[in-house]
Amino acid sequence: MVEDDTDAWLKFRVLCILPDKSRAKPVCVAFQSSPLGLRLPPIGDMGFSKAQLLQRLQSQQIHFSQYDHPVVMTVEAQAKYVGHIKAGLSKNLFLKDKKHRFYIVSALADTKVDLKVLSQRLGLGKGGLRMAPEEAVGEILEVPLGCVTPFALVNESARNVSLLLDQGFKNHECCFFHPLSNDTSISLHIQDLDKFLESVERMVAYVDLEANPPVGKDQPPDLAALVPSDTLSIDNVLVKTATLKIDGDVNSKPVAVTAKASKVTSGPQKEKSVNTTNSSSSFADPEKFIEEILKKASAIVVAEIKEENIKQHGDQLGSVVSNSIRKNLSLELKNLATKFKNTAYTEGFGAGIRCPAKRL
Amino acid sequence: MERKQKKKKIKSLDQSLVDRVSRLTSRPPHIFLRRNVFFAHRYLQDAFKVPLVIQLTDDEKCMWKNLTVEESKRLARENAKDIIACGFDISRTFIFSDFDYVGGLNVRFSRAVPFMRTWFAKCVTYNKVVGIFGFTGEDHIGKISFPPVQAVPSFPSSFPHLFSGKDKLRCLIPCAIDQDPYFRMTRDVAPRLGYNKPALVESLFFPALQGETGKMSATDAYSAIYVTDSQKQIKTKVNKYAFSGGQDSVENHRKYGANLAVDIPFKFLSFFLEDDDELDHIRKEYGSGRMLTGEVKKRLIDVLTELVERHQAARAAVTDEMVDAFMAVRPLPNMFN
Repeated sequence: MVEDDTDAWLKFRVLCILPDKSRAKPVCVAFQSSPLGLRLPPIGDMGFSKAQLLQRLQSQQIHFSQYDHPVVMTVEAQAKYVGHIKAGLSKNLFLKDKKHRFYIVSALADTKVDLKVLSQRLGLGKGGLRMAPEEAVGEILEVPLGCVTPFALVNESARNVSLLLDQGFKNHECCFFHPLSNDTSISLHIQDLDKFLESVERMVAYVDLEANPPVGKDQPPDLAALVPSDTLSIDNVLVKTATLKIDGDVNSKPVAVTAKASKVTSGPQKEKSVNTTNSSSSFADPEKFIEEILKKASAIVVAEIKEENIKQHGDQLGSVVSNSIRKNLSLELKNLATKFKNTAYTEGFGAGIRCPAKRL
Repeated sequence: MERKQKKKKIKSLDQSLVDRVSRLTSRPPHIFLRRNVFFAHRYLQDAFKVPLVIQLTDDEKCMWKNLTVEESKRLARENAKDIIACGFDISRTFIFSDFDYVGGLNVRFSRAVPFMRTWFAKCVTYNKVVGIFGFTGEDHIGKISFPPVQAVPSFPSSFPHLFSGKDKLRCLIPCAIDQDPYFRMTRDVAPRLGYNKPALVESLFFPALQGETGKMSATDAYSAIYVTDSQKQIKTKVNKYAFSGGQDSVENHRKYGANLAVDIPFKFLSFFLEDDDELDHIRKEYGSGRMLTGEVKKRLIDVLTELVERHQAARAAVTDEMVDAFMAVRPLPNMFN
């Protein structure tokens, strides 16, 4: 349920008691008040509530200080109530690019954020980034307007939203964020925010938001790795929320800041999808590996055994074909074998470092 | 940029291996790896059955090209993926980046390198390094103190997790000719530190598409074929920009043949075409004028396309975990087998 300021909520709650007298209890639907008028909430009980979030934080032993106040829609308003406390205030922007990918930029209140620069740094060109439409705040982040917060990533619908955190947060001991509701602000250590986000499998990316590095042919966009790999339009989200489950698809693993193929090299999307399918293909699976080898060898054998060759070589055809296989396939099979070996080694290595060392 | 080094235990070289080595080529590495990097090092690794150590000088790029540390590290990792795609054997290869190897997670081993750098640095005077590299008073001290960073991986004691106790191990460094000053300086200092001098195999620069006068560069897309090029791009580049040694008219060409010394498509084929017989055939036919430039270019396009596609497929198979494994500070038990 999305919480809202009490007055408005009560007003709407009255309206929605069903006229059906056989049903005694009222249908409790929370409405979002917005300058545009009434909006329906997502179907089903999907979004995390403030209470649920705070409970989660407590269960992870994350300490935070909670401050309740009247609903605030802006940083200035928030500052009136908690500005005196020694913690960094955050301003949170919910952005969208032309390919319907979403980003949360969470920054210290006085960090200057230039959307044009960010857009270039992400490799979206100039003007590729704009404020997301108001509907998206509710539909994707499942928080009320004015409540954009990194904590919104706890929701499944926000699975593919990329989060950019201001490097400046690290200079403060504690920082303020809305815990999914704008009638409360909680301050917590920034490392605890990291811890929480990691616990819901979100990658944490700290960015110097005020930096303005040149982007050009020789200088690839430095934040390109933070662009979500999936495009998720609002329509998709609605459909998915209706079915009460968002698919965790293959590409939804967190994008690592330093290592993912960026937009600098051509065809990064192709590369990624090939990557994930190949991990179970001929490089890791002995059966497929052998199949690949036999397929290539057979192709050459079949090609070589033709009438003219039989006539030309007669008995020697066997050794001719054999030489042909050797000549044409040596390099290729060697490459294939090396990939297989390297993949196997890597898997073993990965398993080894994850397993606690048992030594006497 | 990458520096490749190999450690070799054998003292005398088999003549056939030397012949094989001399036939191979290496290419100047390129920071953004949009260029085809076809390393001879892999053949050397296979030929000699020795471990290969690859140094990614991300700190050098950070200093010379004014990149941020994060950006340099990221590019180094991208470089590493392309290198791995060339088919190096993970059980005999250690890749490291300057930023990460020193002071990284492997504290136990990372002490060796700063120690080696200091020890090395003490053996090279300021005047000498200015003389070798041409530094001026305006160059920042990061650049001036960089040479030891490049030199020190030539010595086995920089890699205690690999060569502990094997201080007399010999090192072979295949590199491009522009790296010569670094390693001549290293050879000079090595005896003073009590190590063997590293041996070098140097190669000349590969000609640009436009011919010997040009230079391959990342800013000029038509000077080189990039590993990220599509088939169409390769076709355009070779057809339009590859400098031809053929004559200006068909009649003249049939009469005089092509000038193979300056012909770029033929030169490229001599590097990339695996089949010796076919290359010989082209040499005869094209040189005599019976074969036209268009045919040679078409063959080159096929060869390059296959190469680039193979590389791209191989690169797609390189996962981040694989890069981590190649770069992990770990023993290589079978490195000399």
